[in-house]
Amino acid sequence: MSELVVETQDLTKKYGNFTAVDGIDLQVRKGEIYGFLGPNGAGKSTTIRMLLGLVKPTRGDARIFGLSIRQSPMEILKRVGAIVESPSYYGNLTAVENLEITRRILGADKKEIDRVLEIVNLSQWKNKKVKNFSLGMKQRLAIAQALLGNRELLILDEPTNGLDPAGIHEIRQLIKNLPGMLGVTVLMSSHILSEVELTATSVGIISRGRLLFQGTLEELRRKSETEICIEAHPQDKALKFLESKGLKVKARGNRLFIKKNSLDAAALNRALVMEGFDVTHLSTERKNLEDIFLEITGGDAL
Amino acid sequence: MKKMLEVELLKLKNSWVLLVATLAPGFMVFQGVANFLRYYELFTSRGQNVWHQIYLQSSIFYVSAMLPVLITLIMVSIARIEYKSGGLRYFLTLPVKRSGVYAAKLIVGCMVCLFNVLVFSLSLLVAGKVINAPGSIPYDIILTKPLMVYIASLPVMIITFLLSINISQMGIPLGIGIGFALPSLLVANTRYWVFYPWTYPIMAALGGDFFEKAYFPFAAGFLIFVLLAFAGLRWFMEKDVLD
Ligand SMILES: Nc1ncnc2c1ncn2[C@@H]1O[C@H](COP(=O)(O)OP(=O)(O)OP(=O)(O)O)[C@@H](O)[C@H]1O
Ligand SMILES: [Mg+2]
Repeated sequence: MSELVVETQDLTKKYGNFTAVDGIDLQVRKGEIYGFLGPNGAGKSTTIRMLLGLVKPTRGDARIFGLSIRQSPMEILKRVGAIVESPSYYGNLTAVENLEITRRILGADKKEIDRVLEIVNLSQWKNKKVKNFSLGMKQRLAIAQALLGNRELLILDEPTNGLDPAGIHEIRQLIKNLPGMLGVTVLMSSHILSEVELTATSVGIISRGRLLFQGTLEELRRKSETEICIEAHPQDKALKFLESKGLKVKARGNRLFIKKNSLDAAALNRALVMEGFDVTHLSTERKNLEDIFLEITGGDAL
Repeated sequence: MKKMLEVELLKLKNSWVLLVATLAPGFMVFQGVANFLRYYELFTSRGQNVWHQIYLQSSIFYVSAMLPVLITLIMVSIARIEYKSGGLRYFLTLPVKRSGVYAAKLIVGCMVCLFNVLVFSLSLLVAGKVINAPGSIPYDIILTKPLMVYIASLPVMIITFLLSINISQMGIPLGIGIGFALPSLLVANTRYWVFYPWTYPIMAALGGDFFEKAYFPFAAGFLIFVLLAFAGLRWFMEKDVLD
């Protein structure tokens, strides 16, 4: 098992009686892109704020690079670049001046500013005031700020939120290339399943403050089982018949679903026909990630 | 700390607040002098000192209304920069100590206010020279007095600072800061003025030596500032940054 860059234990945040984040144990490994996936209000931003020391956990602890955020925030934050509920910037300043603030605090080299502007493709706008930037440009500036000074971990809260399709594509591509290009680890939140599928190597699924799944994208996919889908008439009798054969059957709408396992679809069909049912549809279906996600979250859509 | 102060000053670049802080006191003195010249006969008929008259005419409105409003505007703008587009939530993810951020912002705020008062002093000097006020320059009136006013304004500074830095909607600190400033001249004429820090600068500027407790606005002002500054620091270090 490779080195854990982020590790939380029982991390919890309550606002009054409302539990926004409920005892989550995150594990982000070195060099991976961890997709922190959850619907609106799931607790992604609250978790990220706790990781960065903006919000104090009600309970539990977060360790980054093996250090506790409560005890060594300065050591940690030096090595972490972040975007929190983007976009954040000083609008009265130019791109360069915004980066200069970060540079001075980190004590980084002057050359860093040009380097990160180059990475996010903002060099030609560097002396324009940021309040006149488009959302996509502001987002790219935010990523540049996070990259300045060779940080080892990037924590990005919904980095593509609100961008147009071209902007989304560009930012995703950028993020995807970061670990290979700069050797960083990325923790990014998203409420878009396909985004996580396209960019991440590991996934954490959060819903209503609880971490419901954590693992590689591969492990998530493996959860998908193939089902046999049958339309037979009369349906209720067919259901009873199949159950009497010891099968677990679920009725959804006018179709019956059975876990495939080692079942033979043709044999099933024959048995139903022999028993006098009209079989009008029979197919095997593999659940897609969307279905898996809904199953994991108990029906909370993204 | 030097680094933090430089960064805070950089954040203020292109902000209109420095411009207002520079121009407003000059404008106030200009008004005061215009008023003085209009009623020149009346104001000098009993042989009053011209410098003193310039000071009086300029400071009545400056100290009772403009200064507290400017302090509010300065403190609100310094905080506004952080909340307008998420600057603070970004800045605090950098390796900075919250106590350092708080201190640097407070110091910069108070320095801009001091600058404002010094511009007022300078404007008095220029005005006196321009209208050829007789006698040597009375620094105790045009410099020492405004500095005393500054010290008496410390409570207003810390109150508006704490409201601005902790409340992301600028309407609230702005409303409170200006709302409390408006009746201050009225309250200053009652014996309850000691409970109303907005009157302290007025007492310091215009109270003269004849009211009892002449030391009070300074002593109380300083004490209130120190106590609130530390209480606010503790609060700022502990608070959840949610904006
Ligand atoms: N200051 C607060 N006081 C009370 N409740 C809060 C506060 N901040 C957040 N919440 C609640 O906590 C829950 C989690 O919020 P959070 O912003 O972490 O969700 P999120 O996953 O980032 O959602 P989104 O996709 O909308 O950004 C939400 O239900 C929200 O209403
Ligand atoms: Mg969020």
